[in-house]
Amino acid sequence: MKTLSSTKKWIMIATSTGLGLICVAAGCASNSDATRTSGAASTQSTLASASDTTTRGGAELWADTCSRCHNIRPPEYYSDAQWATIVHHMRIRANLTGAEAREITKFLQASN
Amino acid sequence: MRSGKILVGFGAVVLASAAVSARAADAEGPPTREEYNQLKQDSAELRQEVLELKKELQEERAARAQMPAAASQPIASAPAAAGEAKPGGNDFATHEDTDAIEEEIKAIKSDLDLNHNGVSNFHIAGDGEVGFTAMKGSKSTFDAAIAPLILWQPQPRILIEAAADIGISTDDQNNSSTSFDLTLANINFLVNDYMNIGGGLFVVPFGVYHRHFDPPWINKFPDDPLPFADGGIAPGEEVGAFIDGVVPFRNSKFTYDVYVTNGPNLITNDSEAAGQLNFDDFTDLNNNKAVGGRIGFLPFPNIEMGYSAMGAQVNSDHFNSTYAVLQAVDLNVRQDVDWLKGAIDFRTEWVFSHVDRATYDPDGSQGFGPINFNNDRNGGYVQLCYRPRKFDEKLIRNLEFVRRYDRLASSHSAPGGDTEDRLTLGVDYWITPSVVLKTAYEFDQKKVGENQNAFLVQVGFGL
Repeated sequence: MKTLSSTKKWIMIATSTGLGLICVAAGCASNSDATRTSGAASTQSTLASASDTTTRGGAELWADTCSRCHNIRPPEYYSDAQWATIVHHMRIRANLTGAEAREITKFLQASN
Repeated sequence: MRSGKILVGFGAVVLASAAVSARAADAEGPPTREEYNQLKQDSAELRQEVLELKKELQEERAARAQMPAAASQPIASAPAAAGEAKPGGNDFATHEDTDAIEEEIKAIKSDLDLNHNGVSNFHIAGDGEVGFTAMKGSKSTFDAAIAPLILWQPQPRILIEAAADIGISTDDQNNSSTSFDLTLANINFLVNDYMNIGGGLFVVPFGVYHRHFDPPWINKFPDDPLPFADGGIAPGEEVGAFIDGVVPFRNSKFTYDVYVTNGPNLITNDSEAAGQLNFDDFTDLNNNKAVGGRIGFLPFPNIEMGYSAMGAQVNSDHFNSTYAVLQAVDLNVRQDVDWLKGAIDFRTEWVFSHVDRATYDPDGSQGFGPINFNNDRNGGYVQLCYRPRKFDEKLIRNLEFVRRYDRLASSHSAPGGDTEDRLTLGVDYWITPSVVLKTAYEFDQKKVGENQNAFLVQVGFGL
């Protein structure tokens, strides 16, 4: 493939964008399913303790928020103090709410 | 402890006597001979036990009186209080015991000090890379760079960030050079759960590439997409002040970033680059400040889209008034797909740059003018990556197949103007979550310059 013709270029853009849109659609569908599932799960979790709920919330936020941009680093990578500083940095960089940052920090510090 | 035994002995005698008295009182007649003899025997055994206990107590008191005064001080109560009787029968700690306890306390205190959170937190992170490039028309070369990131949290609401890019590379003329660029030096203050303000040298939230995907352990390709690479059309870092934050809305959220900075500078005296914007010079050439921002929307946690804009006067005092308006749109999706047994990562950004028409080298004194051209440029990238992370085999699970199309177009009448398209195909291997070996081949097409197909290898790592 020495040169890229104009047609090929637009085919590449179209296929990449199309696959991306499929991913978006799949993501929306998957998240809708996840929402329904989480509704049932939340009913079951009413007997769980408050701390369990907190930990699960932090774990989900950690997985969802961090993996959007990069591989997630295991909680044991850093100490409690290091996680506090790192999450503060990522809160600013990734536009997290204070509540999200606190939940993620709590989870990481409880799991390292 | 021995005193306790004596008390127990006396207690037993008293209870036995009480039991006999009670039995005698309850019984209708006098005790039988057998009962009398049994009680007499019990009484004799108890008396003997009491005598033995008394004798042991006297011996202990004598031994205690012979010990040095220091050894019988209150420290003796430590092991006794813990219920740890010494095997030798002596309950009192010696100097060796106290020394051992003191050493143990010191060790624990030392461990606590090492792990103490303190009032301020300090952490060194960052990233680095070692790469190899074989590009058509250039000599193949290795390069290396490291970018330490210092994070200091003097108190919970404040974060100070500092970072530098330290690199070594060889240019087209085969000249090696080392670079040291300060890339971050800012202070942030968390106003509340939804707002952060700060100032200093910071990564401009123009698009998301520089802010999110730039580090070598996050970027899935060995190089940057054209609009965000050196000579690109998107700003990287700027000096100024900023406000950013987030607004939750039901299950989704909006993000916002607003900033005021010195802004980019218009290049006016370089025959190869006149009309381009210099994003690496933080000196402001005029009193007009660049203003910009980005609005993002996350309908779900794995999908983010945004619009960015920046406006600035970019000319120096000795050049005609020239304004630039930069805009960008971005979309980022990451999705696990069960039937693919893996995860799909889709990222795209497109940048539109407008700089007012101007005449460069109007009197021809610099040897390349006068020239006047349409100074609109645009470029972007579309990338799609697949990682089969749900396969059982570790070798396959850690692979990632990557594909990117990127483009940068400018007026061909502009100095250095060209239209460049690239298609990059590659395979990555994730050694750890933050160490990746990347290989890629780039098919390059330029309308003006020479095509520069390239084979690239890079190890990227996060610290």
